[in-house]
Parts: sequence; C-alpha cells; structure tokens
Amino acid sequence: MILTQGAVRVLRRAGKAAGVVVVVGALAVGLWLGVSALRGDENGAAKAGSSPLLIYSEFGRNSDTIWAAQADDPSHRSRLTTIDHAPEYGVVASLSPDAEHIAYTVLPAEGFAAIDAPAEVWLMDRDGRNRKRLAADADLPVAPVWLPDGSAVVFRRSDNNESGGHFQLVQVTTLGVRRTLVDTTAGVMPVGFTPDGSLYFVSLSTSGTDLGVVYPSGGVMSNVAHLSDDFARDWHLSPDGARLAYLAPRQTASGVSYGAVVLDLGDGATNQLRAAAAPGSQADEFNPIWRPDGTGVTIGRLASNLAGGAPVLQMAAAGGPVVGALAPPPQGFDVPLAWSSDAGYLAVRFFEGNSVTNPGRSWVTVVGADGKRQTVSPNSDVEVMGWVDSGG
Amino acid sequence: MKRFALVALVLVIAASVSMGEKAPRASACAFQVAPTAYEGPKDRSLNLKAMDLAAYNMIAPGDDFFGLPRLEKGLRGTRSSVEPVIPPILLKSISWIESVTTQTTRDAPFGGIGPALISFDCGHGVMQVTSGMTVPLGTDGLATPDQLLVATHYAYNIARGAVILVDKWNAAPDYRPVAGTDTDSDPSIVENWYFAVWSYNGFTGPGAKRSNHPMDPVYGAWPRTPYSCGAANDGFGHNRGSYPYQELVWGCATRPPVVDGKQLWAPFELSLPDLNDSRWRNPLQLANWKSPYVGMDMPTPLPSHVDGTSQPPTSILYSILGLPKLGVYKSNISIAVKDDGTAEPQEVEIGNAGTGVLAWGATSSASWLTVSPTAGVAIANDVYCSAGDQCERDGKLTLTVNPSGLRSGSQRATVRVYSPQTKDTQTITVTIASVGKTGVPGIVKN
Repeated sequence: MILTQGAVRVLRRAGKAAGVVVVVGALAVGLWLGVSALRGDENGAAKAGSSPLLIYSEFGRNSDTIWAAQADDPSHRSRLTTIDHAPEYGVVASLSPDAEHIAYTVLPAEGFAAIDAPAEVWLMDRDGRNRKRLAADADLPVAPVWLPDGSAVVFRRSDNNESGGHFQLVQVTTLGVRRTLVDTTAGVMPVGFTPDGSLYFVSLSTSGTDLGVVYPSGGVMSNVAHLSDDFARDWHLSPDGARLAYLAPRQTASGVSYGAVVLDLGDGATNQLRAAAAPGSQADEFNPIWRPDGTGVTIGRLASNLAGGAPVLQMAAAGGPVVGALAPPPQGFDVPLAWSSDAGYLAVRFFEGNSVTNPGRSWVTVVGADGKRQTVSPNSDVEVMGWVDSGG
Repeated sequence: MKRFALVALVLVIAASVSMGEKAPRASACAFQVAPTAYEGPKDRSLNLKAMDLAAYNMIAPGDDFFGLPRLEKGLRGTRSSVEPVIPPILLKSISWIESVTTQTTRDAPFGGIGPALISFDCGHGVMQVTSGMTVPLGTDGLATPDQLLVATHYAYNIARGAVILVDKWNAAPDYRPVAGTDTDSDPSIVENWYFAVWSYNGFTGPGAKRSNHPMDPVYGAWPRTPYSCGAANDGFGHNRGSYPYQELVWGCATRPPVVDGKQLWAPFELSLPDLNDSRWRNPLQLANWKSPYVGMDMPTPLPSHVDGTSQPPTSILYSILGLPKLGVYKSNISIAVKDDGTAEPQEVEIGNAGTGVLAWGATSSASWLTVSPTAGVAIANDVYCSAGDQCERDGKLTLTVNPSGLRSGSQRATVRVYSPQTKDTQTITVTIASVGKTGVPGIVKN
C-alpha cells in the first residue's frame, strides 16, 4: 500500500501521542530494571547505583563479550555475557528500548566465516540468559532495530542471484512470528522506529539515498524524502520521531566532506548544520546524534586546518552557531556515539589521526560533563549499544 | 515513485553484473569428498616463498591455467601490455584474509597432511580459488588435473590465485574502472591494484548483499579505524565484518599478522583513496556505480608505493616444487567378499619417491569399486614435517567395494593413480576372488 505524504502526516500525528506514552513507560521500566540484572562477576565490577552504565560489546576473534562499565570509571566493568561467532566476524548487536534485552546478528561459530554467509538473529536477556534464535537468514552487517515496545525486531535479509539483488526488511516478534515489511530490489537498511511504530528505512540507488517509511498499518511509502544524490549515512531519529539527523556529502571548493543535516519529517524542511564550519576550511562532520531531550544534535567535526584535538560539538537542531563543546582530546578528533539518559556522559570514539582517510588508531572513550575523559577498553574493537541509568 | 523504480532498476542491473562474477553456490564443489593437502610450517614460510614465485610468474609460466597472462596498462583507448608481475605484498595479504594463509582446514597440523580447505562457496585453499572450482569439470563427474592441483598443492593454488588477480586487473577498462589515470595505470604501483583487489572478492557495491564499496553505509562506522591483522590491542580494527574487502587487504599489508611473536612480513604502507579529495571521492559517487564504471576511473592514491621484493632465484622454485615421483606400493589387491555380501575397505598408500609435494588423483574403472578421496598429496623426505620420524608422508587411498553392483563370479577392476605434475600413471588391479551371494544383507542377487 502506498500512501500520500498528506496521509503520512495524519497517521503520524495520530500515533505520536500514544507512542510517546509507550516509550516513556518503557524507559521508566528500563531504568528501574536496568541495573538489577547486572552481576558483578569479577574484580573491579561495575557497581549498581553509582553512575550510568555503558553497555558495549568487545570483539574477540571467536567470541564477543558484552560488558557493563561505570560511566565515572569504565575500568569498573562487569562481564554480562559472551557470544560465540565465526572466526573474525563479530556480532552486530542492539539494546532493547527498555535496555533489558539484546538482539544481535551473528555468524554461527561452526558456520562459514564470510560477510555474505547467512547470519542468525538472536534475542537474549542482557545478562545472556534466555537466548532464543529468531531467524537464520539475516544479513550480518545490519543491526536489528527494535520496535518501541520491545515486542519485535526488524532485520534485513537479502538474496543475490544472476538476475540481481532482492532485499527484505523482516519483522520478527520475540515469539518468532515473521512479517515482511519491505520487499524490494533496491538496497535498503532500517533506520529506526518512531514512538508511534512507524519504521523509517533508507534505499540506495544510482540517484542517491532516499528515505522511506512503513506505517503501523503496513502501508509503505518509499520516497518520503530524498536525503542525498550520493551516499547519506549515520541517520538517527529524534526521540520524538519528528526529525531525522543524518550525514550527506557536500562539495566545497577544497573537496568533498560529510555535513550534518536535520530533516523535519513533518514538513520536509532541512537544516544543514553548516554553521559549524569555520570560514575557509573544509570540515567533515560525523555521526549526528540527538541529545536525550531532543533539543539538539551532537556532532563530531574534523576541520582540515585542525590544530590540537577536535571535540564533539553541540548544535541546535534548527542550526545556528555551536552551542557547546565537550572536552577535546589532546590530538585527533572525537565521534559521538551515545549520550547517557541524563546527558551527564557521552560515549565517543576517539581517533588519534587527523584525516578521514587515515584516522589512525581509535578507542571508545567516555567524556563526562566535567571534562574528564576515560578510555573504555584498550581494544579498539568496541561497539557501544547504549546506556543503562543506574538511578543512583 | 517512477523515478525511484527506474534508478533502483539501474542499480540492480549494475549489482547483478557485479555479482555475476562471483561463482554461484554449489552444493558439491569440484570434489565429492575433500581431498587431502599439505600444510607447510606455521610461519607460512613455504606459502610466502610461493607467493614471491607466483608474483613473478615463475611457477608455471606459459601454462594456460597457472601461468600469468600479460598485464594491460595505460588509459582507456591507449592500453598496452607488459610482462606480468604482481606486487607480492598483495598476494600475501590477500592470502591471510582469505585463508589465514593455509591450504588445509584447522584439523590438519602445520607441517603435515590433512583435509584441503574448501569454503561454503567452493573457495579452495590458500587463495580461496572459487572460479572454476564449483563443479567437477573432468570426465565422469571427476575433477580435472588443474582442479586437483588447485585443491591439493599450495604452490599451484597460489599460482591460480595470482592468475585470477591478473584477470581482475585486466578486466579494466571494459568491465572495471582504471586506477592510476595519472600514472599510466602502472601495475608496479601497488595502489593501482585497488579495483583489482576489490574485484578479487567481487566487484560489488550498494545493492549487493556483500558490498565492497568504501562509501556504503552498510559499514556502520564512519570514519573507520584502519583494519589490522596484528595484535588485538594494537588500537586498530580486527572485526572483518566492518570493512570492505580491499580495506582488509590494505590493512593487513600495513599491519601484518603476528605468528609466534613474529610478523609474517615487514609492514608495507599502502594508501587508500582520499575521500575528502574530489579526485578520488567523486569517482566513488553513487551515481557512478553502473557498468562499465567509466565514471569511477581515478588517479593513483597518494602517497603511492612500489613493492621492492626482488625476483626469487630459481633455487627457490626448485625447493618449492621439487621433483616429485609417484610411488604406488601395491599393484594387485584381492578383496574378499564375506558371506553376508560385505567387504572390508582396503587402504592403499601412495608415496612420493622424489622431492617436494606430490599431488595425485585416483579413478576406478568399475562402478562397484569406489576410491576415496579421489585426490590428495604425498610428501617426500625433504619436505618439512612437524611429526619428525613419526611423520605420515604417504597419501592414503581407500578402496571400497559396493557388493550390490557385483555380478557373481570373479571380478576385476583397475584403479588408476596419476600425478598431474609429473604425468606419471600407475595402476592397481583389484580382484574379487569369487562372489556367490552379493548385494546388501538380506537380499540375494544371483
């Protein structure tokens, strides 16, 4: 079913109020339950109730480890569980909205180690209990996306044969009931759900990157917005589902760089956060993530004339000047990953290099509002899933 | 919607062209039963030497299957050909990504014989050769001698991988873009192999299940920490699922694997296309992803590098290939069929009385007599074997009688054992002394 843009807005408004209630409720439950499931099982374990906990996976050649680390001292961390996988190919995981569960794609340990081998989709409690396989035909690199109420995830599957590619976004409930939401010959990737249950997705074609949506009714609209004539990336829905922040390449006199853009999903208006660019310099922007309250966007930014370290910047979603910056690294640059719910801590990836093409070594780092910077792990292969509020 | 549908169709066509080069999945590849192969020492020294040889086209020059074709160079419309030399670092790095530079499965010991490595998509051995290995191409449903060598002998496998890489290079400009528009696409510049290496795994991009396009957002992190084959805590990335293929190869060349505390090769710096510079970024625009990819031609990534590995002396070639000699220790075997119609399988040892690694194949003249595996290796006394005096250097061939296929009375068949390297052939005569009752137990067949 294809809907018009007018119908889109009506449906979105109708579902928004109810959706917000669902999400707030889910977050509340998540905050209460968040730490209770953590078990300190080693020295220096994370302590419940002291500070927010960063949930992340750490790659290992044959198995990944899921950790919970204290924001104020990431060296205090608890091993939540481990996940075996095919050699060299780590899991791609996402935390449920209530932070109680983890969904992930994985190449089975005894299976074939290739990026296009069929991946499995698994669901488990955050501590690794109650593991359940939901699918065995997924694409490994595409992380599962959770429904707002945590009742299902959406994963991507695809087939390639002599006649071309075939892609599906498939919703599977925690009970294993499948439903195909998008079925297309274009390369698609899920973006995320709005609180009212609409799934946004992107499609890649030779004309660029387009945004589509699947409404709770099942109706699909493939061209909600044209995000870029080229590769757009790093898309993030605002907490209220009304806007989309993403990166799009832009041509400047001195070259090509990615710039952050905010798209209003209601009226289609876009704001390019170009105020961050200093005159006369080329700047690459990275991973525009929303502040927890949705009032602004946090971006990484690397200018061609970088001197010293480049901090992440806080921008108003409507554009305008930089409204704040976190503590910069001594050199290199930061890419924002995820805010704790109280906005007291930001997980970033710190690169020690000074160019996109050769960014050098990197480590996930927690930057506090007080300016304190702490490395999460000596290994670079860390993927942040999100935060659990300790409530304390 | 119409515009969307049209451009999606274009993309899918482009993707299908790309994917078409990846061999289709086969259920049974070139061999019904995995042959055996020889695995060299853990430091991969034999494999690495063979790569230097293959890079300089020394393993089988002039051979249609294992010899390198000439390399094309130059811009579109002004191509010429030169003697084929591949930067050896590329073969080394590719081999680690493909197979951790092993010819056998993990069940085989380093310095010994074990099952040949065959992947789910019929990639064989060190270089994971897939092309031409998905189905048996010989007579009677058997593998050809060339297929046999690819599966069993690391040096020939590497030589074939080198041929495939040259084929990918030579696919430009008709089917692939040209890298090095400012350097006459000189193949001695390693960075000019960017598209050829991309193609070795499949010249795939957005719209394909396995995309190797560096800008594809399916790779979630941007920018990407460079890939490393080195230590886990070196600050670089190690999760292969996060990188397009050519970045794995580039990263592994620069940050080589470490085995028992020693790097397998000296770190070799390589440059990727500068994605902030229009000269490289614009060719990689999404709009240019359409066959024959004319818009993707780009200059040499800077700074560029040349592999200074010198051509190996001929003595290295002899040490790798040796002078194997087929030795089958039995020429006649008599197999007794029991009263219940069954017969014990018989094992035949196949030796190598010469030097080096001998690849062998075996066929049976009768349908009631099967040989397994149909291919394998035997190693001579000069070949490194970790088990020392206890080393199992001979190949093992199992002969199995299928009684249901026997007629009553005496039966005779021959097993032909041959070596595709030496062209030697020996036969084993297999005799069933007398068959009264045959067939599966409980079924009398007279």
